[in-house]
Amino acid sequence: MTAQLRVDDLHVHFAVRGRGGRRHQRTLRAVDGVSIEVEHGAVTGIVGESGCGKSTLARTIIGLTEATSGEVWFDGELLPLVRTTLQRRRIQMVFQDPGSSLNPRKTVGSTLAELIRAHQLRPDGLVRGRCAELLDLVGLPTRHLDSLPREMSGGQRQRVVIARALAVEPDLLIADEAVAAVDVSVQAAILNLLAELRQSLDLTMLFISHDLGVVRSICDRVAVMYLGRVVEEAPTEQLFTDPQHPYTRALLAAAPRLGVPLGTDPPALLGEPPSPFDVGVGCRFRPRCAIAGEPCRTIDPAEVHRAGRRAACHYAWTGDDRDAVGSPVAVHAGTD
Amino acid sequence: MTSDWPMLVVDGLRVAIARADRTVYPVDGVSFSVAPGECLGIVGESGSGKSLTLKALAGVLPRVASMADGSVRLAPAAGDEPAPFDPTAAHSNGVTMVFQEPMTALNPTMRIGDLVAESIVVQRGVRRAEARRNALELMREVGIPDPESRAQAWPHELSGGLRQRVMIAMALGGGPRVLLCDEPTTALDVTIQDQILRLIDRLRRERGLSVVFVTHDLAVIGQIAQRVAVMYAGQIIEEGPVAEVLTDPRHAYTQNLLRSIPTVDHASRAGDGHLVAIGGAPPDPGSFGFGCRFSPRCSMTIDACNAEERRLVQITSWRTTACLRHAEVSRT
Repeated sequence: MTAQLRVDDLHVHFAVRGRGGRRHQRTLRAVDGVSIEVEHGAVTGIVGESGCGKSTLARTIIGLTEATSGEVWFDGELLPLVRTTLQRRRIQMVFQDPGSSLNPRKTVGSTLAELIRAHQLRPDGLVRGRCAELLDLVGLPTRHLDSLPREMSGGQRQRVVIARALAVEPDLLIADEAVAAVDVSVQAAILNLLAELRQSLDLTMLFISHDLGVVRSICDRVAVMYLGRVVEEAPTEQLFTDPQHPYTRALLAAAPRLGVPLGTDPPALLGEPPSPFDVGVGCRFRPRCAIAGEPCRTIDPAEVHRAGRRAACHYAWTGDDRDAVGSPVAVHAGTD
Repeated sequence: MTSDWPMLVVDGLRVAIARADRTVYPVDGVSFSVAPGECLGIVGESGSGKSLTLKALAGVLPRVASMADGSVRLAPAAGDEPAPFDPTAAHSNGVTMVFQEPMTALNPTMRIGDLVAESIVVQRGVRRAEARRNALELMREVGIPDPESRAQAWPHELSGGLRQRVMIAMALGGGPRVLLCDEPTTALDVTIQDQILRLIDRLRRERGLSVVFVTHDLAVIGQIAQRVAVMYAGQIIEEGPVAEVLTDPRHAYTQNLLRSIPTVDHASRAGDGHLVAIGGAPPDPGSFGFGCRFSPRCSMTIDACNAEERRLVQITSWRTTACLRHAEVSRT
């Protein structure tokens, strides 16, 4: 299988002016050397805390943000910053909040029709029929063609946002927290819809979420990001059952589980992510890491690759340290 | 505990919102009680009325809403008989609230230390110098590192997790008996959420606080609460011990909700039938129907479900449900 999307050593840095004006300008490393491949027809999840760079990564892939260095390849073609209409059409994004990403003064039908006309995907006479088809695809009755966004529920609006992304017949769909704003009881329906569309339309998907349960339910592979880097990537089941990076383990431990009370243990991970302005030397997870050792202080860990997985940790796949993680003393020593 | 008196008793609470054409009741007859040192979780979707219930108890209802009916009683101290309590009366009343979004809830023009000290002055009426000393103690208690220097920081200089700790410190300023938490961790990352949940849980145990914790997240409820009340369309539709309700729900809505949530522990896949979607959407307060309000979305609905208004009935000595078919609801 070949990768449909390949991101190669991508860096996205922002210049931020500090209090002292231009001389105090600092560099925010939002994405700081990310490489990732998504195979045709696969769903790859990206998880991580806010500020880890997952949304910036998505915006750079779609061409909304300029990369500082690195390359984005799509179907064997290097994507430039200024894209052609076709290049733009083939990668679409589903945004988080349907309340603010839909034009409140346009009916659903006219929102969809505008896109179909702009990309000249159907002759004028067939546009309305295609709009109805799109609504049908996302499970909405066609009477909603004449509805305004405010007349619909949150779940319905999110279906419209998905229909809008599909209107231009993309090959890659980037879903950025696509179910974070919908009601719990509606979330499953949206996830099922995305899973079905992926099958029926042969879509490739990049699925960005902070919700590990949601990621587990829809993704084939998962990449975990921390401070602008991918620290671990693996097939979904392996990541959840046999995580190698201590950050992945902490994320999984911190996620609330149905029917598991808190207990009186200390938190899974103390402190907060350090500033992306100043990542320092050595491993960038070291200040919060439970198993950090001497090499972590000075050497930025290289990615260890094993059996289709990778982890950027000096102690990945070293059995003895993973045993130590099991004991609460080791987990919580030396942090905060 | 010397007696079994609850700390907080809410009885038949209704919140009214006047709309252009008529009055709607987004909270429509909510009753519960919380024991000293107990955390009651209220879980529900947007529009279920859970947040308005809490705001009514804290006396911070939005201007368009008002408490139309019902009574609230609060124990003067743990173990005492609860006495009538007016949530809209003065501040120093023993019930305080922690809000979801700490950035908008904190005054951006005041330093952290002043914010916490001010809450102590307002709620306890002590002198400012004493309040400042107490503020530092409170900041230490809620896990703010290096409180002496953090006291000089502005709210915007803190991370979301630290801001939430500041808000909790402010809520503790008057030495409350009841802490109302309105989705205090929803805007936070999962690792920070874990820290804040553990903080609230520790404060409950150490201070014997009664906590009412509102969230849409069943897993969070399972972590923090001892008892859970499930709200739907303005009413509590099921209540019981957390461990029982989450593993053996007795309302069709609770059961459906539990089946629809993808969890970290299960390899259930979307699209292959493992994630059971609930059709439709939660109703708007303007269109609450007669009978069971979940029935339009329920696969078990029969005519009898809508023959009369559903009320909570006792099914064991510690569990209630409003589901007519509760005997047939089980998590298979």
